[in-house]
Amino acid sequence: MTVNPVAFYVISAAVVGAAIAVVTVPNIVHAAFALIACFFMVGALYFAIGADFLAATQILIYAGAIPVLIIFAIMLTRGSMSREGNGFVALWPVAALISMALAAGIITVFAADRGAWRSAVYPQNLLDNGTTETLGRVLLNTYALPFEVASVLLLVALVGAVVLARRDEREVAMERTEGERRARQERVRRRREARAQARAQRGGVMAAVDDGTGDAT
Amino acid sequence: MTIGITHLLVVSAALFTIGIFGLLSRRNSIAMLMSVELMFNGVNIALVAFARFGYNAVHPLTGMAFALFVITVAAAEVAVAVALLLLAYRRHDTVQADEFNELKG
Repeated sequence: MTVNPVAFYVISAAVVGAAIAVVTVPNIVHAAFALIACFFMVGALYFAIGADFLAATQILIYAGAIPVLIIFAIMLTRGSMSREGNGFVALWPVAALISMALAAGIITVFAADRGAWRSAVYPQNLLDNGTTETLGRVLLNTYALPFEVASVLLLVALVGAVVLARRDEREVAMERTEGERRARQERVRRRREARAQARAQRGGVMAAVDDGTGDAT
Repeated sequence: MTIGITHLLVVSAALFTIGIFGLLSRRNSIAMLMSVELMFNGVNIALVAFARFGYNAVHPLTGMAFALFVITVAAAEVAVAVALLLLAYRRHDTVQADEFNELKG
């Protein structure tokens, strides 16, 4: 019935520590790996409080599939792995203040003892046999319609991602000739130089001018 | 001291606000996406905590079912967001959120 306090505190410290690493580590690849660690630890937290099916789902989808997509995005975009591509905004102390104030507010609300949040005792058979059967009944009886809508949503996201990420024919045809391709690279290079100049004028650090050879596809 | 709902809700609030900090302070869009994922996880912990410690015999485990839906929607959201980021990267040659400023007057 009760949760092991040692397990809870160790896992919670790991969750919060990994989450802080995700938002503060300058190297984005390290941040992505800290994200994986954080999601694994959240899965462990679900195990510790007896939500076994959700723990498995968390590890399969959150610790497995989503970081793979994010690491793909990191590897496919040049510049996000460099140091100057991973800065923080100039006003980050304000962001820290806002989030700390929000944390204080939420914790104040949560820390107040509310008897209504403990309406019934958690049944022993859910702890002994796991939550999978009950969860399956809930999903396919009470929430059958949202369950089906979720599958449609996944299909829409799949088609949408394909449509968005694929290059349209006009773009491909435009680059068929070598001259067009070179003109496009020249355009990208000019735009990048203009950005670097604007940044230098703002008084920031002069960004290292890229060689401009890579094709931005 | 037994672990109750308040302990889990504090962890949930911490994860959510760390995600908010990352979303506000990072300049890289991919890092902002990772912060949004942290916020989703914070909310999920709260939902599971309510299902576990605020057990309702009439509608059992509603919070866990809702957390499953959140995970589904988050997966769809990440797929579309990564596609959008790659598209924006192709057009602008950067993923820095403050350089997507073509609409600025």
